[in-house]
Amino acid sequence: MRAATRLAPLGLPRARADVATGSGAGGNETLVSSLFLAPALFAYGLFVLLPLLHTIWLSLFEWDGVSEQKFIGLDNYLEIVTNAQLAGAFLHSAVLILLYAGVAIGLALLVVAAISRSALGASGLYRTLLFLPQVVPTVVVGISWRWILAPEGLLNSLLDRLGLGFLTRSWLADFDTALIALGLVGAWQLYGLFMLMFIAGVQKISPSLYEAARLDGAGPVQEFFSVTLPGLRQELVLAVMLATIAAISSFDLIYTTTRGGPGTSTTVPALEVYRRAFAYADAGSAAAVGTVIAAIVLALVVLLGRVTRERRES
Amino acid sequence: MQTSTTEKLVSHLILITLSVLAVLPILGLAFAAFNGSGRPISGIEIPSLWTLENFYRAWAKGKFGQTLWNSAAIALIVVVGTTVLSALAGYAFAVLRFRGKNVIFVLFLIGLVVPGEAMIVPLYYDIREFFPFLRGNYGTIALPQIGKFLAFGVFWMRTAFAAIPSEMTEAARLDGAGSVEIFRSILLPLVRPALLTLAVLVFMWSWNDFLLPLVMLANSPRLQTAPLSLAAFSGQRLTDVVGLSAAALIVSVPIIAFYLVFQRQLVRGVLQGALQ
Repeated sequence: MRAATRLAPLGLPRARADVATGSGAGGNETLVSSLFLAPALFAYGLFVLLPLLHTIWLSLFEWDGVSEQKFIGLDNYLEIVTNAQLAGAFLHSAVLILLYAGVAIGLALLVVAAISRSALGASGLYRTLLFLPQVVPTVVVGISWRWILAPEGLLNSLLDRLGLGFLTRSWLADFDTALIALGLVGAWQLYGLFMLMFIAGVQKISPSLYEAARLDGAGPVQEFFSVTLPGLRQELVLAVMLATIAAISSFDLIYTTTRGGPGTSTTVPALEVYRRAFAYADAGSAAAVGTVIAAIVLALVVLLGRVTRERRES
Repeated sequence: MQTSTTEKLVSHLILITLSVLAVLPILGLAFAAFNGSGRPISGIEIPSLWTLENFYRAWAKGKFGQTLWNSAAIALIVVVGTTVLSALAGYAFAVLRFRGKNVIFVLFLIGLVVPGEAMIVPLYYDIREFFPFLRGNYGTIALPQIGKFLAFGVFWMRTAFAAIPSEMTEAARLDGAGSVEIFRSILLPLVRPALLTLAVLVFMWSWNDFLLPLVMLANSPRLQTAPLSLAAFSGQRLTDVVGLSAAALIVSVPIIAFYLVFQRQLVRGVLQGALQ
């Protein structure tokens, strides 16, 4: 601070321009930079980048984890398409993506539409409660919902009491309902976060836009579609991304509730990675599934990132 | 903006309903945990007779003392490692000039979105083969976690350092201060709030991490983390609803308490971090 005040009369903007072009006092700082950067790059490279590359490499081999690796080209990838159980896992995660994103985002949007007119924020206690599902370990979430959805659980006893006893079933053990039930649990885990994200986003929209819409005689529905929704574009894209990543790698939840059952009706790619590598001794196939997961997520992020950038520019 | 009272009331009602729905499953678990055993619990039941017997049973059977300690120790190591390395690298990316900056930064961005499933297979085999000294100690889980969380940490700290007006560093530089000195005595105090937020987030992520400890600690029963021991416990005692609830509560209470203390940092960190 002391130096800054002393420099002020000399004209800071010029000094700043010098530094920015690299001709100032700093010059090339490659040596210092590498000292600052090396520890992080070392840890990240060793435990993230190299394993990621090694996964791609392993996916080209048949390997049980012990004996010699046998190069088989793209066979492991071919298996993902041809093996019904593997293809099924990817289909299941597509269903989960739809439920996670659709239900959680839909619910959060509905809430925002309802409360944005009254200019309410989600502060204090609301925020504390809505964020809680993000904090609790997923194992606990799994145990809790396993109990709610059990044959003698909360949901069935509620249905009984409402006279809807004919609907009761063992939700997580039923081939027809297990996957959908898990999708709704995932949506439950996410909707509070999305609500907070959207409410924060709405508060950034200029109030004058709402006033203008009202002067034009816009009702709540019109106001939502012409002001709120466009203003939340960035948050919406992000929510889709988060829901997709959560759905495709929802290992914790599935592992602690159904473990892929009944049958193979709730398997997801992440569970297949785990099983193939550590139960079926098929590390190559596990690596191929892992690579495809990474590719899907990266492609989606790049795609969605491009969509937001184009929209923002136009 | 004028708003009618009815609109406000409806808004509050919606917020209350969804807020309650967000905690109901956990609350139901908490109530069940205090109920006497020997009776099926099928709903949110406020115990008529509060008892701690489920907690004693769960604590004795689940080895939660040991696993809670493991989780805390691992989380602390990971918090220290991640914040220190992120601060150093974030400073380099935001303030210093060097070749290959953008390429290296993009490499860090990859780790921000790629899920752990894509790394887990080689991590298991390679650590056994190339880092035998990590077997049987916290490093086997802490180091991969530090690597994983660095992607966000570097990103987060770069933003924090970049937000500081460059006048501050230039003035010091013209005064003859070196990069290390500028980092330590001028910039580091200014990014302390960002560092705290990062530390809080990393603590929570480390505590709740599941797949990595499940795989890496499969052969180290002494090192099991709290969520792992809960998963194992729940696998053995499927029908003991009240005991399982007590165990789930034992594992959740520390992280929920942590959340209540640091909720400002946590919520803001997740919302901001996600949006960047």
